[in-house]
Amino acid sequence: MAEGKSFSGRERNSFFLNTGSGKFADISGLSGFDYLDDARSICLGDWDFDGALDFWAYNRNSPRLRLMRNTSSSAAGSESRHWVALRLKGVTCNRDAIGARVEVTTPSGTQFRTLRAGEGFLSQSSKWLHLGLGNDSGIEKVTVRWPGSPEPETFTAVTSNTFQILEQGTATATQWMPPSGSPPLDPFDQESSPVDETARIVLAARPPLPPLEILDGIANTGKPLLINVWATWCGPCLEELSAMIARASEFKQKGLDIVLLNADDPTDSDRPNKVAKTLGKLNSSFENRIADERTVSILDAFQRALTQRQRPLPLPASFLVDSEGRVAVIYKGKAEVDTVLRDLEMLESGPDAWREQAAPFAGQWYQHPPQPNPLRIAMKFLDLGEAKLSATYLERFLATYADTMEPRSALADVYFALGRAHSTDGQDSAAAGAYQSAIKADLNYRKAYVELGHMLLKRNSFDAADRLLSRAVQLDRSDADTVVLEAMARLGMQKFEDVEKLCRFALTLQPDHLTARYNLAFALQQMKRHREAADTYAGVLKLANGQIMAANNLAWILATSPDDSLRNGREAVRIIQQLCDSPAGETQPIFWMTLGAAHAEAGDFVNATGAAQRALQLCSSTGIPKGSTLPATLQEQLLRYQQSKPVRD
Amino acid sequence: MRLLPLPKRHAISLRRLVVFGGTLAAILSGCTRSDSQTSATDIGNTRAAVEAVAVSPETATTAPVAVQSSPFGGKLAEEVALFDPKVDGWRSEALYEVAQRQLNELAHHLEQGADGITSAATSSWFHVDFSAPLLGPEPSELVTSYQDSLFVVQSAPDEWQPVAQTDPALSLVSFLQPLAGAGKVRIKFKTYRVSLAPDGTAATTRALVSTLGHFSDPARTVEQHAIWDISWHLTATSDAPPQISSIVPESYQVSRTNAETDRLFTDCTDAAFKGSELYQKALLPGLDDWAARLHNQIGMESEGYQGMAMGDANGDDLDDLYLCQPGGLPNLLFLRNADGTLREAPADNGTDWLERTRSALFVDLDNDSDQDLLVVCNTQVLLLENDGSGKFTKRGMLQLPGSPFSCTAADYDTDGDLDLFICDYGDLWGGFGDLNERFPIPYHDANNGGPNALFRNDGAWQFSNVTQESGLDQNNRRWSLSAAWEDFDNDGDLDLYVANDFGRNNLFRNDGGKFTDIAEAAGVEDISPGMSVTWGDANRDGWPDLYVSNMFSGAGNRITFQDQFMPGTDTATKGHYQRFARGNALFLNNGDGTFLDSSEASGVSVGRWAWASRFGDFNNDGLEDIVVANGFFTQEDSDDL
Repeated sequence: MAEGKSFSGRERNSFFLNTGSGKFADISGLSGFDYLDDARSICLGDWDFDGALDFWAYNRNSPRLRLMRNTSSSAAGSESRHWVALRLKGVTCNRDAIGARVEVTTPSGTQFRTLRAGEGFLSQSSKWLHLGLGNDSGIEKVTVRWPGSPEPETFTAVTSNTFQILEQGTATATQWMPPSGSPPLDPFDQESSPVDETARIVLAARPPLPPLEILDGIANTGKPLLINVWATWCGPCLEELSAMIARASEFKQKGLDIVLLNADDPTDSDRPNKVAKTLGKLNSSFENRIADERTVSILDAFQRALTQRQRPLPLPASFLVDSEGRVAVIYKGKAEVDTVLRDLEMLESGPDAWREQAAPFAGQWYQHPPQPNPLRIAMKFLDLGEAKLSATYLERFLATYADTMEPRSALADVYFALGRAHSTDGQDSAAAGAYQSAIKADLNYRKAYVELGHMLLKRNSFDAADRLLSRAVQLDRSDADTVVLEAMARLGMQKFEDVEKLCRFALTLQPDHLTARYNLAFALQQMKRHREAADTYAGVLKLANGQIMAANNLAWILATSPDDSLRNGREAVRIIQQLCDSPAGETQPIFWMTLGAAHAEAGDFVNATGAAQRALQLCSSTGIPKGSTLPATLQEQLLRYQQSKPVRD
Repeated sequence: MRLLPLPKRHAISLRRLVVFGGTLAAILSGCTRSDSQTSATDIGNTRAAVEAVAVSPETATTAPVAVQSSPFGGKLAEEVALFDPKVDGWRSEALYEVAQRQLNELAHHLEQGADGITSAATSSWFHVDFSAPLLGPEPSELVTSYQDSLFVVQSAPDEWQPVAQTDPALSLVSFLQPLAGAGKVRIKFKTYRVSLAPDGTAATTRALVSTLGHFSDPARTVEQHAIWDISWHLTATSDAPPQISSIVPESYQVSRTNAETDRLFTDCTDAAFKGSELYQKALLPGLDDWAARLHNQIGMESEGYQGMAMGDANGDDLDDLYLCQPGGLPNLLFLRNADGTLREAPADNGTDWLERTRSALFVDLDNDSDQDLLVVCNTQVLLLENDGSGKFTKRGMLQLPGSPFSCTAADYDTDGDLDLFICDYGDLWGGFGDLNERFPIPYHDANNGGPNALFRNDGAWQFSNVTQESGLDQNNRRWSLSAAWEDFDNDGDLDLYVANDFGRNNLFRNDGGKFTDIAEAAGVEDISPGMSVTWGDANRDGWPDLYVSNMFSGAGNRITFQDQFMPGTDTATKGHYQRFARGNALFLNNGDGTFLDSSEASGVSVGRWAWASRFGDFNNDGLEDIVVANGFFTQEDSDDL
């Protein structure tokens, strides 16, 4: 959606007419409220005091607001319809009388309304209670049950088609007169506002400019800098450039360096020539550099990270960088010289005054301005395949801000992101160092324990992994994934009872956790609890029948378990044959080994021998881990098959 | 208000830049969704490691080895399937795509008018062996279910047995008859069920069919809603689109405006703002536009989780309007003029907060007979005192741990002042920095949201968090968006219903200031993505009924009813997911502490992706109607789920 995709969009608002027969009719179209808006909030009230209930609707998209005026009071036949509007005034109860219930009795029956403050989605309606009375013009009785009062109070003098105020304890209604002489509110279909791709994006917290080789010698000189991205074929770029060139001396006088980054097609062999000619014609004295594809991509990723709705970097685009190398303003489309000069003057103002610049309208804040946050930028660089850049960016950020960042968990976030960047870049020890720094910054930073533990797990350092992962589980016992990782560490430590316990716990957190169920089955198998293991593998396959290792292990148990009542050679063959026939499985020696054992159990020693031989062949042709005992095991099995003996686990 | 100049509109997009894949969260979060995937695919490696340390040959032989192309079907795989119908295994969604495209084209063709509805002109959509009844009943067959001076509603009778025949044009013409002569016609099919024969040669889809026709002179509007079961003839070999082989109408309803009017409501916003510059600049552009031009670090977001409040801010007895806004845009207070138009409140009124806000209430918190204001912000609720003239001063701030959304006020302990119940959704977005994103777990019954809180008013702007002592801490880690008070059991005190996203809702019965969650016993758990709640008396029996906004999702309905959806999952869980996509819920109060789910029987479930809904009697007939605001995210593309 950040990139402009719809999701359950273009839905028409709904209106259901109560037909009184226990059914409602969908008359969304007749209601006129069937706009395609992404509507959110609805507030009811008789806005124009004509005795028909209007409402306001508030939308996400353009136009944001709609006053839906009820036209029924001017429709033919409306004079036969009656209504009353009531406002309550509490005296001993809360003054708004929120929670009070009004009952209105007319010849055709009694209706009630309860006064609420806040219901529906983020909405508060008018405190006027509006009741339609149908064809009844006479009101027989009005009672109010005030909050906290056991006995309802009866009000007299309530006449239909009027606005009445009911004050607690007075027993007499007072008519309220709406302001007179209201001109009609004329209908007008609001147009969606056109999208404007240009923007001046003031960065309330200024992120450091990404390191770009192309700016060597220009960026980070201690002076403010305007980077202008342009192309020779882009008309508005040239207009903008002319305007800036005409006032180059003003920029110079105010101490602003300007660098042009040309973004012409890099495959155009005539590019340098075109650029030189265009700049010559414009009489530009600004430094110009020829941007490569990567530089433009990085700048694009950088700017995308700074707005929630992301749009591509347009031409022209400019970046105003302050004297400390931080980006203060991004201009999309032409940057007006006066605007840039004004922004330049504001650069040295304090964070509060600067934040005011970031908001398009005046208003007040009750919280402090934000600190710069590099996370989204670093993530965008990772998305771009720039892991090293992502790491460098975060390291530079830390060099400046590590000492002042608050709270400490925010600092830990940055270290954690650095760990991810290093790890993506293949720098495992640097990643581990970053995760350790995250933990140092915040001893309760669970994710870093998980990542470090996971890394150690992959390196077979099971004890060390276990220490970190058990700490992570301690910090949040609700995350099944972490519990399963700890179980895997215990698996490496051959502590099968622990594996069982942890996996069972993980499954209480997330019953469909495949890995937990698989590890549980595996641990049970190691503990020779074959029947339970087989049942659990079957459970794994029920969750996901593509779980090939579960299928293999289940077949192995069915073929080799010492438990006579559990063994079933034919079923084992049926299961494992599918794996051996699959493209992913046909080259796996382990499946062929299992197939051999299954055939042997089914009494087919010819096929058992064939399968074991195929497994041995695959061991040598596909390569298996060094020191594996698999070939030796297969040789043993072949001997057994020649003696018509099945394998026993 | 200060407006800053924006540069002139002269942007030309740079030639196509790289389109980046992947989500931020997936890249950086080590232990959220991506982790179940990571650990799942890493099992092989770990097992290989186990093999290396294995002591006995038996262990080694049964230890799995790494299989590179492991077809592990984890959670992620399922989610991907939900979003990409082409993923192998979702043939029903692939069928849906082509069938819906056919229906869209047919609808477009039919919108052009009756002249084009001939057997020849429609032959590309219909198979030669087509059979269907006349899809529109004869006027004499219709049963009138409602009639007043504004509207007439008619339906096909329950025992409707339409005449079968074989000409698609005749079927369609009979259905479109009420639109004949309309100046503007709209026809839409929404497919929400697909069933595909196992051999792939035939399929049936179920669609909501909606038509609308506007007539002028005299002005009037006709609206039809039908449900059709459509059978498709599929050609297994060619790429030819499927053709309709039969249509069975399941329901039919037609409604018309009865007076010389073509709609009940007209949009009068423009007149109410009289060309105000602030309205033009601040309220016409959508949030997508602002979210593309304001720095995300000031709380700007475009989801539109912002509401409004109506109340008398300046003590002139007229309701004013207060609008909440995302961060970087100020909240706006507009005062009602005598003539119904609006003016900006004076600049120093103390309500123009620029932080991200969600909702607000006008309530008299200090019982001095003016309307104070509370504003739900980032993780706080601001309490603002009204000086009586519409000038507000901050008097306090309630702190919430997660992401508060809404507030509903009531005097739960009947001590004469208003207490506040606040729905804390939970921090789905992790504030800034997606590293902290959290996900509802389990999705269909999540219990890891933010804790809601009840704040007791102790007078003098002091509030105490009494969630625990009041009993409202039961079942209180749901993803709550909205709550509403009502004395549902007519025993004189206010009970509380809480609508929760990703799972079951709460109904807290009040027994002298102590609450018990009785949602399950009362039959109103409504395991669904609850968006909001409102109370009213739908059947006028004197007992408050409940209406809950959820999501009606075509995709959700189609997918969750397929056999291959969550294979191996128990039917109860699957039922939860199916229920998730069903739509809005109407619970009729039985008067004995239980409710009857009448959502589908009453015809009020299809409220789309619904947000606010409200009961209200909009035609003064003494019956409460329902209005629903819906639609999640409309943007430039049209590729909706």
